[in-house]
Amino acid sequence: MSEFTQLMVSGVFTGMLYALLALGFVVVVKGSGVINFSQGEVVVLGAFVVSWLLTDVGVPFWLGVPATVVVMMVVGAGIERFALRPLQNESMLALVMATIALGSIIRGLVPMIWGDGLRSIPSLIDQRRYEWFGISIPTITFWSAVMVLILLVAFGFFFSRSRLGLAMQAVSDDRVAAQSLGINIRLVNAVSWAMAGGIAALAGYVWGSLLGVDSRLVVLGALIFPVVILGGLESILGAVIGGIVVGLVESFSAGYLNDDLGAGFSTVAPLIMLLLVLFVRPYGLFGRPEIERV
Amino acid sequence: MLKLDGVEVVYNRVALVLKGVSLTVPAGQIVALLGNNGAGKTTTLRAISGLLAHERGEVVRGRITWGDNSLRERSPDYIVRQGVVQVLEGRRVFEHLSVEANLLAGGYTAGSMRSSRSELKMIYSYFPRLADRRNQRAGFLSGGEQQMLAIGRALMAHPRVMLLDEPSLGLAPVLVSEIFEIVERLNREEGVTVVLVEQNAEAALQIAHHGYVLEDGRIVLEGPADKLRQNQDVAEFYLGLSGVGERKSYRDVKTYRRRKRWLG
Repeated sequence: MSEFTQLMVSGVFTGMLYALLALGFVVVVKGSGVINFSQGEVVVLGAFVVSWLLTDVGVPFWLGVPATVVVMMVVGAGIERFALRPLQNESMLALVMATIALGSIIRGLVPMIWGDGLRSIPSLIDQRRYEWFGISIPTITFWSAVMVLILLVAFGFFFSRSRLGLAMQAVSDDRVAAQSLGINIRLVNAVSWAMAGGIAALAGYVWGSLLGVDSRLVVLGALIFPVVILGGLESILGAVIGGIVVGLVESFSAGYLNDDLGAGFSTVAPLIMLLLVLFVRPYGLFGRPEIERV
Repeated sequence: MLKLDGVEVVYNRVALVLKGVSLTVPAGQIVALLGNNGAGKTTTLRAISGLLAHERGEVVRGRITWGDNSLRERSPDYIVRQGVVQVLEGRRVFEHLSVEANLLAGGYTAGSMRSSRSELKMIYSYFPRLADRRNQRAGFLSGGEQQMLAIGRALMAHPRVMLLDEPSLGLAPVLVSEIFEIVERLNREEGVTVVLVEQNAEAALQIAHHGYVLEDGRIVLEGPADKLRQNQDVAEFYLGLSGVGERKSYRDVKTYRRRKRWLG
């Protein structure tokens, strides 16, 4: 029983970290309608930037992480400006292909700049674990999960209460109608990509601290999809729920199935689940089916 | 005064859709733009509102002015800020947002969220049905309610000119006259200038002051609305009547059209 509880708790907390990966993806869908296949690579870039700032440059933590967020926001806005805006009246397929190309470019660029050795991120809260009632959680995981919850609330408020947030929702619902009301689509797109960049910086910091920073972090990008398919492509709350489900599936299959099915099964399990979910609900568990009145 | 002067629009860099359209919309009036499918009515509106880019269209010649400002080659948000707002064909409400969120999104250019909120009451006074459904998802409204929402949403942007594209599309006659009444009231009470694109020529000419008939990218006829209603061509062609209220058979209309096209 205690093994079960341990697996469940660590599944939930790891799930929050998956949600952080997916959040950047969701924000881009919400603000510009683009299915972004490069979010995983952007996270890797964020991880490299933060580890470079903290170790090579020697910037203290309280300055290095916010600085990375700012740098990555600029990177995100730059991606929108130079890779996607020229394609703004093209088909969704063209945009998706552009993000895939972008992912490959970043993947190639990172080892060119920083080499391909494993780097680390000096952690503020080192490798200790919290122990409560016999359940142990890495401190970094715990505080990251808290951060995800704060982000979730902040984004919830932003999208429902602020003028720009509402405009972003309008753009993702119907671009042309939004434009007909004077909503500046370029601004909205740029803001959503900048937000995705900032979130990628945080995700890069968290995941880089957990796994170490090297180019193999890109496999995280593949886990974005089970999360967002479960949660709905443009639901922030859905991303968190989807993340938690993926975390649980992974944690339980690691605890109970890896012995019988081989050590890699827990990595594949979320993707198998993705396939099963798609069979039953093609628009995801919490996704919105297109509204059709009959 | 909104003025188009010899406007030509090309799609995909090859297809000339508007072949030199000139029209004048005096401030405070309702001007109807009539014509068949593919005549260029929607293109004319989109040329004014700057929304051609999505359709790969482009104004290649001519002038579009509102007062002293040129609207040609301006971004859609600049044009909205000048007070020229289009209500798109097919309503295009934000289906996944609530009625109220739709309206607030319409107020994007007009000011803060707080000032937009304070204006909701005015919109609801014109469209009481929307007030009842303010928290419902717009996608679940009926067609007529969606059309009202689309107009109300555009009103939130403080338009001085409203470009209405086929507000009667797919609506029951009762609703059509309800919506046209509201448009007339908006014109009278709020002083909103209206450019009304319609296939329903009869309804449009009842509230319009002036009308233009577009055919194949050109203005072929214009005049005060009551004159147009009496005009034999319009009566036969767009109102489907010949003589005194007698319905004409479709075959005759077709021959007439063919003749008209040949004679140019």
